[in-house]
Amino acid sequence: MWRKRRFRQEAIAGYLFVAPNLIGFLVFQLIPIVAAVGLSFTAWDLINDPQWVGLANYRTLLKDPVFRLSLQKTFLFVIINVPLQSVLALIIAVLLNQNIRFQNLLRTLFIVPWVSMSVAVGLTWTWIFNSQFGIINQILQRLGMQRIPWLASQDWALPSVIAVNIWQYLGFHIIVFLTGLQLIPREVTEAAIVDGASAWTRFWRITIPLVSPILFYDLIVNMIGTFQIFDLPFAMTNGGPGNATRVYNLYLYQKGFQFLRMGEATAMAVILFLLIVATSVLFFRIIGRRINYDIT
Amino acid sequence: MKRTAWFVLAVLLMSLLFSAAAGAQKVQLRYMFWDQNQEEAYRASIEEFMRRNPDIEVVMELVEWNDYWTRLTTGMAARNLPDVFWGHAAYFSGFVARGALLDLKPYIERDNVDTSIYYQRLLDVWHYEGAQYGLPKDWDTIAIFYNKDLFDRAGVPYPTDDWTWNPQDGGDFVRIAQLLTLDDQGRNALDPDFDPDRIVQYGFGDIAGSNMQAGWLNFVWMNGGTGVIDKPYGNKFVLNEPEAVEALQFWSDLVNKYHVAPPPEATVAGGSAWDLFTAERFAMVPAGSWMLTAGRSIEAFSWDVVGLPWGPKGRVSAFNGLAHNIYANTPHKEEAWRLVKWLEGYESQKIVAEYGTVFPAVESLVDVFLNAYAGREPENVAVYIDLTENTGTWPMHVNWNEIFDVIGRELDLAFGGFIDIPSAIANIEAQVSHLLE
Repeated sequence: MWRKRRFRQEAIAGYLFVAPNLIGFLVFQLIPIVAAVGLSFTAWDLINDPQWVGLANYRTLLKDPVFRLSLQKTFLFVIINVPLQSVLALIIAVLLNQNIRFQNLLRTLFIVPWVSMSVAVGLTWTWIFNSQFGIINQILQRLGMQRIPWLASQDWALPSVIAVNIWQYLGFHIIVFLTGLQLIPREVTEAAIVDGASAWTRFWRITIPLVSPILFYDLIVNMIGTFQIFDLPFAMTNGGPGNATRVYNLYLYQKGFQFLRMGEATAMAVILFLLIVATSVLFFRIIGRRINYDIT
Repeated sequence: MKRTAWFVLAVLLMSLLFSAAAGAQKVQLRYMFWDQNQEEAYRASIEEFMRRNPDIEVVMELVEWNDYWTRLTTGMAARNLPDVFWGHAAYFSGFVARGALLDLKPYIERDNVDTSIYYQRLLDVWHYEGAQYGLPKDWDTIAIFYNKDLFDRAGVPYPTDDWTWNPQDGGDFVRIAQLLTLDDQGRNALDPDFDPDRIVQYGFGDIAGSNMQAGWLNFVWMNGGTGVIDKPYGNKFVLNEPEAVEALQFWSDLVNKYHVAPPPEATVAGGSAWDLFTAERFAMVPAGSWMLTAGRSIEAFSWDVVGLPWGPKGRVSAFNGLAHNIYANTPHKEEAWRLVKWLEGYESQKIVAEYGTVFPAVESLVDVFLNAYAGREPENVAVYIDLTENTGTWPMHVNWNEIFDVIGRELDLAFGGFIDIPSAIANIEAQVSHLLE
């Protein structure tokens, strides 16, 4: 009897502890998600009440060439951004983890862009990239080279935005990897040094296998985040020139708030949600199984 | 008996107190607007309104243009919107067709409001399917701001109001712009050694697909084109007329053939044409009269304004204006109407005109505005009034925002020299045809 009461008290305490988080999740995540699924079956212009239209929004989207284009741009963004950004962050984290000079200064320098406001970052880069008056092209011309239409041409714009994105969020991924590197037991590394393993061998035989769960985690988080990319294309190019950087969430935003087609916008959100779930499952199936979780 | 008397007195006192409390209960109206330059003038007008209408309290909410329309749409979704707000032709057609705005026609007729005091074309902007959703508050036309110092330095006389352009050889307009376009060796665009890849100063700026009102649409009209859509709320795309295509080609030529203006990206991504004009990178920019207030803060150089150059079919300027709209679901329709009636009325427009920020929509008050402007730069401000002689109006369509998004994107590619104008027009036509139905 006493035990049972004690158990119940602990349970109540436990629920109370998770309550703030749970309430936040319900109010700000679950309810909007469920509402979005419901709204995706309606025509809603934000002004009048939503009207039930069944699957009409989904059919409209499948016929919409810009929808397909924005999906394609987003996939391209993910495919280029995720591996480059995560691997670059891992390499920098390994270097920063050594005993080098100015370690703290360097760490700070990589973190600053991440904690800066991305609209401000984006606008600053548009000045730097400006084909006529930007600093990069002025330097290129001083060196006797041709101007590059960084944000002006349809071929260059997406890579330019991706480059800024990689740079801006590198700091976050570096922190993730630095944490992972701290988890590698010192004895393992020391034993390898005693056995005469070179730095290169240690990196491939010890660091990589032991940090692989973190690498996997980082790739998943990066993938999910990049699918939802919005801020930099919005601030830097507004999707242009033409449709060159019109990523999925930018088009979704326009549909909802500029074109007053909130039903279609929510349908886009539902499709993106399913795509992210499917890609994550695929990730777990293909890579997740090969990860060594036994760190010690 | 005595007790009863006390009771009666108490009841009387209490009812008095309650009625006093009820009298103090003012109706609160929320008023949303986007232009900080006009805040002072409208605050003065609204204070006068509240003095005359002690039962109404007006709360002014300033929301910058970039957030303004998102705030309005999300506000509509949440059923939580200002009662009275500034309307713009670009967004009016989408809102009105979806029933977001209150029809003022019954109120105008009931109160016998004299609408003949306004410019009639401005009144028509707020007209939809036999109803009237706004009375004009102000107006604007398009002229060209030029940097006098840069003209002096190049030894070029200032442009005069009879200058011309044409799509064949560009006319005076292009010639003047060429003389003011300089490469990093100081050679102008007419010099045989001029290097178009190293331009440091442009004669003209603000070539962008999105710059319709102050930009390409005026040149389409001046070349004899109809515009974008055949008529307000029409369903025929007319930007493919040969006259329109020719004018758009001329705009592309300014960048790609004459090299007197930078491609769209230079003024869209990072820094607007206005920033580059004030930084003395552009000698001339097309500017609506709403930019006059911003122009007053220019201290680095002296400047003036000249009318648009005359085209093959005369000189035509976009003519547009704002109005105060009332939210259709406001619980205070009557009070909101009283405020709007005051704001668009003669007295309020006079108060606002005295601040000299925007041209008043009441035709007879234009001189009040000009008097307020006397002695200030630009000297030639009255040219904006001359430009009302021959005007075109904003294309109206319920799907306008979507149509304009497509036009902006495709024209940017063409003005940037990546595709030609006929392909851009064909692309636009293919994408907007289902939106125009």
